[in-house]
Amino acid sequence: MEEKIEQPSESDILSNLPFIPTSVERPHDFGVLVDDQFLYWDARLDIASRNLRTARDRVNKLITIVAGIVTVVLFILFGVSTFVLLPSSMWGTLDYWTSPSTEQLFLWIGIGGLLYIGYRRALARREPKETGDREEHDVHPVQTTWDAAGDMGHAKWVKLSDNCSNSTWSGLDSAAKLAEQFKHPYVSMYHVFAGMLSEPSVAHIFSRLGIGFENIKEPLSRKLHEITAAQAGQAVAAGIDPLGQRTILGAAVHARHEGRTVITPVDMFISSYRNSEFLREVFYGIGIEDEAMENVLAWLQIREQLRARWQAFRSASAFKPKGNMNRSMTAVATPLLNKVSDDLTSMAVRGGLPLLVGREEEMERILRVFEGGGRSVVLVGPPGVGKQAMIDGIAERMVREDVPEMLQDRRLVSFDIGRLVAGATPAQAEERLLLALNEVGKSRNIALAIPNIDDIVGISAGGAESLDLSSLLASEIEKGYFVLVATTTADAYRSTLEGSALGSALTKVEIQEPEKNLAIQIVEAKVGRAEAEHSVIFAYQAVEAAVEMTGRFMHDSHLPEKAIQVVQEAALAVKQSKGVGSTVTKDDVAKIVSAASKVPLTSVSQDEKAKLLTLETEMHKRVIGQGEAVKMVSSALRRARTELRSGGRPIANFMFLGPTGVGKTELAKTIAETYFGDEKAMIRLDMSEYQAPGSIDRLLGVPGSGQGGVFTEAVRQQPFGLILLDELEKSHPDILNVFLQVFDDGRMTDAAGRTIDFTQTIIVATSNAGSPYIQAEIKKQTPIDQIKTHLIETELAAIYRPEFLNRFDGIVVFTPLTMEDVMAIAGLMLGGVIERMDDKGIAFEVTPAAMKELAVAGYDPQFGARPLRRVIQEKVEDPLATVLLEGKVDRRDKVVLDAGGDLRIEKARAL
Amino acid sequence: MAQSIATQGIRIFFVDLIGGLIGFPVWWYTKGLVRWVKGLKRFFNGYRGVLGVGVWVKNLFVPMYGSYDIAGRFISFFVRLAMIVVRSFGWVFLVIITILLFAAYLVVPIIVIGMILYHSIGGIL
Repeated sequence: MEEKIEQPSESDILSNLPFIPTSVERPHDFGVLVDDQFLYWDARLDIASRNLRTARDRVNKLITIVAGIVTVVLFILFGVSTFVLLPSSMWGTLDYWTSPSTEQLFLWIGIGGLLYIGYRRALARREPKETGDREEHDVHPVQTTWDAAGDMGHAKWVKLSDNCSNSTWSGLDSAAKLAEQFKHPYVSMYHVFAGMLSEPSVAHIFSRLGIGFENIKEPLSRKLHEITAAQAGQAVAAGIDPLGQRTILGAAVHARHEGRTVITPVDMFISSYRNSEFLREVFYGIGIEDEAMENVLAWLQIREQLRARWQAFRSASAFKPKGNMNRSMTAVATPLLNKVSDDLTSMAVRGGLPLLVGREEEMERILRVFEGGGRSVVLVGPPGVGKQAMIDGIAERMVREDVPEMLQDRRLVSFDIGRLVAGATPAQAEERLLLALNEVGKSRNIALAIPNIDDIVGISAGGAESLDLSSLLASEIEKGYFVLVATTTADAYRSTLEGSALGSALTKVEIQEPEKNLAIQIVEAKVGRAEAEHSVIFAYQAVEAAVEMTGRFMHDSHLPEKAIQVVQEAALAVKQSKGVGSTVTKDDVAKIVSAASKVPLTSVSQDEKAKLLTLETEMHKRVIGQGEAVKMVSSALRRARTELRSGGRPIANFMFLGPTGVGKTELAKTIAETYFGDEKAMIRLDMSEYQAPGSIDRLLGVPGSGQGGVFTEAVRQQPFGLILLDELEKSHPDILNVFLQVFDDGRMTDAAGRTIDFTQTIIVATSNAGSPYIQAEIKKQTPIDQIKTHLIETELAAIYRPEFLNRFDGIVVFTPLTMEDVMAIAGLMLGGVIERMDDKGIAFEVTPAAMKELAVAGYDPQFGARPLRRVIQEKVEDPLATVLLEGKVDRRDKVVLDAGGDLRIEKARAL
Repeated sequence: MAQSIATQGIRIFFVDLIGGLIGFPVWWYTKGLVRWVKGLKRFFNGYRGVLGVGVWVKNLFVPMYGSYDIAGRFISFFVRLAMIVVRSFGWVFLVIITILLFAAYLVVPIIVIGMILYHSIGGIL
């Protein structure tokens, strides 16, 4: 019976719970065997039992109150009868206290009463006492029978009804009442689920999910109506149906899984959620996927654990010495050190430092250095990943004395280099440093923390040969009389510490940016503060979005700091816009990220969906002809917007091939407008300016200058937009190699060492290469596919390497414009003129003959439709301007352009 | 196991209400005792840490307050020695207090009952 099975997921355990259901012989009892303990339920939920329970609780309370009153009265009686009524000569004698008396009887019965009250208070069914360690456990439910469970001995039986918290009972009572209201014969899972909804802890889950009860009310009530009502004469809510039984036992198993014995409403909620396909569908229907639910539940658990940890920490900190002095009293007064530092352990003792979340592995590595006899560690990581949090975490552990011996009975003091050097000449700073270190050494109870240790590199007294402050510190570290934890960024470590005396004196521990889930957990732990400060509540999706979106769109800073900042800003913004008590949603966070990163983030709205579906039509409003090009671009954009693309590349890379004046640039502008919302969201590079190999510096920045190039800076400023590489074939081959990496990884490193993100850009390269061939073949009416193949294999191969061409999502061949195309373009352009005239209240019309004439004049086989604009200027706009200036037309008049460039004015009728 | 309302009622009356009265002494010497011992353990360990006799012994030859000169070392040694003696007394005192508190828990109900009997019978007599 006791064979262990391999642990399946908790969801599977709950939905396949092998429990003993109620039977004819035991109509109200059910139970499950879990790891050598038999969890059973034998409480009834019907009205009579409920009333009985209430009565019992009331009587119990009454007994305690009566016992209290009696005790107090007895003490008063004793006091009055002895000290007031008797003269002091009586009760002042030993004889009085040793001989029996009624007065003293009052006293001793009173004392007995006190003991009894203590007992009742300990027993009282307040919230049942928590005995778990709040860590996840494997649980192994096993099939059993009543007889087998009985053989185990009743010591191993756990009565679940005693482990339900008061709010769980209240939820179960609501469930039973609901069943009565609906006249259902049994209390089912849905009743239990609905009953728990009114409990605050479950309400909390809903607000974390960013939804309200009303969202699920309808389907739930439909489901309840589907249950067959009790027949006449049949009792209502007389028992719990098998699914309901599974729910209750599942809740107990879930609590055990989390290391608790107490069953809360949340356990009931989770159990019913995991047991019911229907409930999952209901939540899915309102946009709550399984993952979001699991993460919210995990969040609740994290909060619980944090609270437990905080309590444990508070009680441990009571025994840590508060001041400068350590237990062994070796410390000396450290006046200078105090001036240039903060005492982190005493801050932690006062509760001023946040608890460290996650990062167990890194902490382990740091402590291992000290255990192995190392005395100085440098934490290396990008800014904002939580190096300071690690130091605070060490302080927290030092308060609990949960550290290697080297750090025990010490205080952690954070050295502020700014204060050390403030107002001092380098020589004075050196003196101060030495004196402060001397104090540290003498005290023997100080561990030193130096954040941003790279700051002291380069501070030196006197000439070039004199000692640098960092070398001074390094030599002091070598002497080994103090313990040091320092931090620095990866860049600073590389440039200033690596290879230096200071660098080699420190053991390097790398702190990486946390991965998504850990970052979410860290932000979840921090959200509480923003929530308390601004009286708002964060939906889980908002926290997730903060981590995800900042991870994707804000590349200048690092997780978790940037997400925490966004969360704080969002909390403030929501408080200001929606008021106190509102929920911060994903969209609120998106707005903040959007403003900070200049990326439009508002989730794919209904309008935009429609727009994406009709991209071709939208684009054809601006681009005439080029059906294939528009189609290819549109489908790539749709893939990008619905996030089906791979994350580490630009949204799309296109190469537009074709003769000049066929609409390549126009299509690029159209993409910018349709996708990025503005045709100006475009960075245009004339690649003919990059013909020399040295021009790469203009692109990326001059090496060693510490500054980015023209191009990288532009992309950094506007990371969400279209990049147009005009006439790519003219640039130097080395420059093409630079773009190779961008096309592939979506990033580029500039001369300042910054990584520029291209994952939110569309890159369009245009090229005239092979234009004569295209024109010739089109004339011969060769199919486009054939032209394209030939182009890639021969014409382009001469200019671009095959791996370069392979990086494009699409090589789009633009066909030369036909006469009809040019007519349509002329129509488009004239449309603009008509609109402008309309603004002046003058109607303008172009006859088909005139239109054709303009098209013919504006079309040039060499330059495509490029001359058209000039022709329209000359033949339409100029004469119109003259007519307007001469005052020949008034409002409501009509101007007609006829063949031969004739402008005819049709006067409007007088009003 | 679940029973009819009548049995439930009777059971509640006898087990919860009457049993609650009779169970008092039983609880006192079983679960209550465990609670008390746990509390005493916390009390003892906490103050033992504050006294820190071990820490003082370990640092016997380390000068106090950073006085590294000969005189300082000399004085420190004797002060530490004295402190160790004083703190050891403190430790013994702590042990005694803890044992007393433990013993008091055991005997208090007996004393109370004894006193009640003594005073009620003696008072009446």
